[in-house]
Parts: sequence; structure tokens; C-alpha cells
Amino acid sequence: MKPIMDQARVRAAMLARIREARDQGAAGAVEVPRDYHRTGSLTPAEVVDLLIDRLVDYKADVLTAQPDSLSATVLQALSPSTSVVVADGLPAGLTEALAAAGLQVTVDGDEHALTAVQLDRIDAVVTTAALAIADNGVIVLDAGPGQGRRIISLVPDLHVVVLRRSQVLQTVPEAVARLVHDGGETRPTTWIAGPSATSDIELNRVEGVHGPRTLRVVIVDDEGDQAQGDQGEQQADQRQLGHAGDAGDLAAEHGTGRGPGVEGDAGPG
Amino acid sequence: MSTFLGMPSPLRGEQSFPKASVKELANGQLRRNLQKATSTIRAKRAAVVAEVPDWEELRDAGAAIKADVMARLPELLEQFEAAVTARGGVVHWASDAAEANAIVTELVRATGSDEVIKVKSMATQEIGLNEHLEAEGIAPIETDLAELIVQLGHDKPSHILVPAIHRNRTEILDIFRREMPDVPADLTDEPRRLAMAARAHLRRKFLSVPVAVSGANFGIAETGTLTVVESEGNGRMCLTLPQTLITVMGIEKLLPSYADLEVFLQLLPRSSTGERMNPYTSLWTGVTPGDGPQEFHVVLLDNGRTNALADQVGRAALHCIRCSACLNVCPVYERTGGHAYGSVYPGPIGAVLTPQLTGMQGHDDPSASLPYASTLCGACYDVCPVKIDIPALLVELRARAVETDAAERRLPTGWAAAMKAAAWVMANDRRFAVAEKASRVGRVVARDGSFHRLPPPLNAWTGSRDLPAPPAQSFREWWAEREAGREGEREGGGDTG
Repeated sequence: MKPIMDQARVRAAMLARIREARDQGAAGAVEVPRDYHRTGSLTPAEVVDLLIDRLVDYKADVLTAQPDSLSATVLQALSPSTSVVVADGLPAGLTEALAAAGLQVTVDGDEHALTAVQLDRIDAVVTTAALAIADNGVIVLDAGPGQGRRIISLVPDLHVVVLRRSQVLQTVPEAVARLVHDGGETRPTTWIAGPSATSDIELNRVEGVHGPRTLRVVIVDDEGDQAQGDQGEQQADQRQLGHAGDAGDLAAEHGTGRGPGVEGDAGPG
Repeated sequence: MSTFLGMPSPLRGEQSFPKASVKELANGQLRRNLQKATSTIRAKRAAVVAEVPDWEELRDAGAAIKADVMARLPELLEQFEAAVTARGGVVHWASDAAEANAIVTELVRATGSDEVIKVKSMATQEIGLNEHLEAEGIAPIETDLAELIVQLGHDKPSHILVPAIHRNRTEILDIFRREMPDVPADLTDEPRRLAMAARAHLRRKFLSVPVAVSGANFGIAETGTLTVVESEGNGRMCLTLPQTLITVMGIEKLLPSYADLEVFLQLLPRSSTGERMNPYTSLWTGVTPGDGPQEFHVVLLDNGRTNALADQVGRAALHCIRCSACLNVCPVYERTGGHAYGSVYPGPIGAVLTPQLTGMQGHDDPSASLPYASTLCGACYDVCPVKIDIPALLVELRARAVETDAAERRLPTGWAAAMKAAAWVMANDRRFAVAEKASRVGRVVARDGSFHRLPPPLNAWTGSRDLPAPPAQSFREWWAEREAGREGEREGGGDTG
């Protein structure tokens, strides 16, 4: 569609006025001091621990997995959903494993693009991510493999994100550099820091408004890197699922039946 | 005193700040709500800023990037336009509110919808878009919880970030019960329950309305990428679900490169909501086939911004990223609230931005009263993520308001005459000493050590404050006496030592 009004005239007049106004002050490029920290100083294991700390603070649930226990962990994270939407490109075998476990799995893609109304009837979504940032607890989705269209990670009420340990960076500048390096600047990108929330009523934070009310992050060791996760760490992280109890009560209160039930979760609820 | 004859607008109230604030200050509930909210958010901000070791370096970078944007604004706007167009978006230019409103209305009409879902946006508030759309038979639906509270309450926003900060939970429950057609019968004032009522109320709109209007936190000149920072997911809904998306963005919102986000996405959330990061940040560039709106328009808005840009000092106000940290630390804002400023931009930044956007048209213009809505304590400068020296800008604008005033009046005002006389007296040590002695005559008529009411024209001063009576001995006299005594002591000391 064409621009409306006499846009050529308005545009020319506006630019001339802006140019004139600008020239009354300093013109020419300004030197930008960039003395802020670009890279972090933590070890890879510490970076992942920091991310987990941030995510838990945002009331997201965190589970850790080995490559061979990934499907089982994702299934646990999906509980008690009965339907799930995914995009192409999830870790090999995961989609099949979800279907084999009895979940109703829908694959959203170019040939079969679900509408918002259809997605509204699906309990959960499982995606991968482009990367994560430990400093501020962010998970970045940029429509890469396994992430799908933005709509699928928005409308369902439970979002399960599968993240490889090697995808966790420490600082925001590291993350932006990685996105630029991968040519992601113009891809539709969403930075996610916990489940949706509002602080609009007396500045009390309430988790879960329009976006997914529950966010669960499964951090999986990279292939061939089995030594990283040990049993003790897994148990520690599963304790954090205790937060799910709050969300479960909330869902029950509103009769959606969609929230995570306490039985399916490892935590005390 | 005459009243301002210009048209009130979303940027200009009907009353001067001192008059409007008298009314707001009388509202005890408002002051309690504000005190609680601002002290909460101040503490949150302080905690998350303290944990960033390179915060000052980030502020320096943020300030310089914004100065760079202003210095290259025409070129960056053209670069941005080319990038958006190359990615399938359409760029519109609007000199003022009327043009922007006309463009948005026509774009909404073209979709055939008589409803539009809206992401919270200062730019669309500034141009009065909702009122314009309503007059044109299009229903704007605010989807941010606080904006929804303001809209359903037929109210005005009072804070940049939390527009309903002046409302407490009980008031919000009352508004929902009164105005929300599908309100749950057993709704309580628990924030969680209220938020869930809003979720249910808006869900159907998200799934059905084909057109959305948003603002933008940042526009990247290099790539044409737009950014919206939000918490609830209402932004993602509006930016993702509809067929058509219209973004209204002030021309000053540009950043030169995508990499600049690494600075601003650290500065903004910690300064505004006092969180390490807000839950959702959406970045999109033009149209992505099969993903999100397939028709995308961006309206570039001037609406007075070039007034500020033309001012070498004032242009710093355009660096503002609308975080609202300055509101939350301001002792004046905390007491009067946002409505007293009469502008959609309240608080310290509003007091420097508003008069520049509207211009100050003489003594009776409410905008001309805003630079005085400050104690110049400087807390706003300390918290500003892009280091806008708001107190310095306020002083500059005060000077300008006085100059405009003086130019308008042939005879000097009583105030100007008094200041001139005082300057003459104080410039000379002897004259000042004489004046001090003379002032002591006033002690005869003072009561409880103060003048409560002086005769005209001095009542201009005592009309709003008490004037302490002159002391029996002035500081200078006391000092001279003390020093003389010490001299004696020192001499005496010399004898015994």
C-alpha cells in the first residue's frame, strides 16, 4: 500500500526542518566511549548457575538433563499438558518421543500454519532457543530451527524451552555480538525473561498475564559433554519446580485446568 | 491574572502547575498511593543498578550514543526509512499530531476494522490518538493493564511507566466492576485476581482484532529493526497476531546500529521497572513472510521535537528513553502525582520536555510553569540512564521563561525591580550592612518570629509562605564579634605560653 496524504511534501518539509534544527547545535559524529564490560569473567559452569539463579528469581522453573534423558525431562516439564505444538528442528527424536508418550503433538510449519484460535486450544509449546544470557536471565528466540513462528511460543499457556549449556552466554554484549554474527538482526526476535508478568497494581509483581503463564527451561548438556551435569545438580534444580505449585493453584482457581498440577512435578508443590 | 487562551492538549493542561498541584495535594489517597509505589520502585531500581559493576560506563555510552543520534538525525532517519522499506514496511512522515492521527485513521480504515488493539505508547498518548479514533468511529482498546485501568476509569495517565500508579487495588476493583462487561462476579481486589480478569477480558480481542497500533522503544537506523519492551505479553500479542501493525515512533527514538541495543537493553529495564530485565522484548524488521503481521507501517512523528533539537541545551531532553526513573525519585512528583503537570510527560523529564515540545507562550501558558515544578535537588540527574542534566535544563528554561516574560512587559515587574534593588545593595559591603540594620525595624511588627502577611506589594511573597523576622543580630555582626573575642583570647594565650 502506498503512503497516504501528500507524503512527498510532508517528508521533504520535515527533513528540511530537522536538518535546520540539527545544524543549530553540534553536527557530525560523536565519539562514543564503550568502556563497559563486553565479556564476562565466569567459568562456563558458573555462567549456567547464574542463569538458573536469575530464571528462578523470575519464577521460571528450571530442569537439567543429559542428552539421553532429554525426552523424559521435557515430558516432565510438560506435565500435565495433553496437547503440545512444536516447530521443525527440535533435537532429534524429541517430537516423536512426545507423541509416543501419548501427547497430542501438532507441528506448526509453512504447510500447516495454525491460527491463533487453534493455538489457543493447545496446552503447551516446546521450542529451542538461539541463546541465553546469564547476567539478566534472558532467553532469546530468533525464529531459528526448533523455534518456529513467534505466535506458537506466545499463545499456549505453558512454554518449555530446551537450551544447550553451550548456548548460555554471560553478558548482553556477548549475546548481541553472537546474534549479529549469526545474521540474526533482521529476524523476528523475542527476548524472554521469565513468564509474563505485570506490576501495574501498586507495583506488586503478578506472574502470568497475557503471554505464557508458566515458563520451564530445560538445560541439556551438549552431546559428548556428559561429565558436566551430575546427579546432585539435577536434584537441586528440580527443587526449584516448587514454584509450579503457585501457578497450579492459580490455574485451579480459574478453572482452566491447564496449569501444572502438583502431582506431575517433582517439587513439594 | 488572565488564563491561557491556547487549546489544552495531551501535552498542555488547562492550569499552571502551582494551581493544579493544590488540587492534587488535597487528595490524601493519591499521596498514599504514590508514596507507596515510588518508594517501592526506588528500592528495586537501586538494588538492580548496584549489582552492575559497569553501570557508569553504560550511562556514558548511552548518553554519547543519543548525542550522536541527534547530531546525525536527518541522515539516520533516511537510513532507517530505506531499511524498513527494503524489508517490506511502509514509512510515513507526520509533522504534528493531526497528521499522525490522520495517517493512522486511514490505515485502520483500510483494514475494514472498527476496532484496534493498542500497546501502551507515549507517542500515541501525546497525539491524542485514542480520542481521535473514537471521534472517527473506531474503538481503540488499550491492552496494557495500567492503560486499561486508565481507559476504563475514563481517567488520565499519571506516570510514564505505570499510568495507573495513582490508583490502588480497591479503586481498580471498583473500576473493573463498573466498566468491564464480562467481570467475574466473585472478583476481589487481590492483584493476581485483577490481572486474571484483565487477561480473560482481552483474550478474545487479541484473537480477533486484525489491526494493532504500537509505539517503539528503539528504531535501529542500520537495519530498520523496531523494538518494544514490555512485561505482560500484551505487546507480543499486538505485535504478532494481527494482520496489520502500525507503529508510531518519535523521530528521536533512533539508535544508529543494532549493536547499540547492548547498551540500552541493559540501561532501560533496570532504570524503569527496577528489574534485571523486563519479561518480553520484541524486535522485528519490516515484514517476515508467514510470521506476524503481513502489513507493517511506521509513522515518524515530529510534533515539536525539532523545537527541542534546534536548542543546543534543550536537545538533551530528546535523549530520554522514557524509563521514568526521574519521576520515581522526584520529591515534587511523589507529592503532586502526574496529573498536576497537565502533560502526558510528567515529572522532571516532563518539566523539561513538555515546554520544549509545546513552546512557552508567555506567562499564562501552563507549559511555562513546568520548569518551576522542581526543587533542583538533582536526584533526577543521578538516576538518569542517559545522564540528562535535568536540573541544568530546568534552570535554562526558567531563564528563558523570565526573558519571554520580560520581553512581553514594558514595565519591570515588582519582582524584577526588587531583585535589581537587592543586587545593588548586596554588591557593596557597606550598603549591605546598612540594609541589615534597617531591616531590624521590622521586628516590631513580627509575630512569633515571622511575618505572616506583609502589605502590598510585599504580599506577593507572604501569600504563599511566612517570612522569618530579621534577627536581633545578623550573622555578619555575630561573626565580627566572635572574631574580635578570639583575637583577645589568642593574645591572652600568648602571655601564659
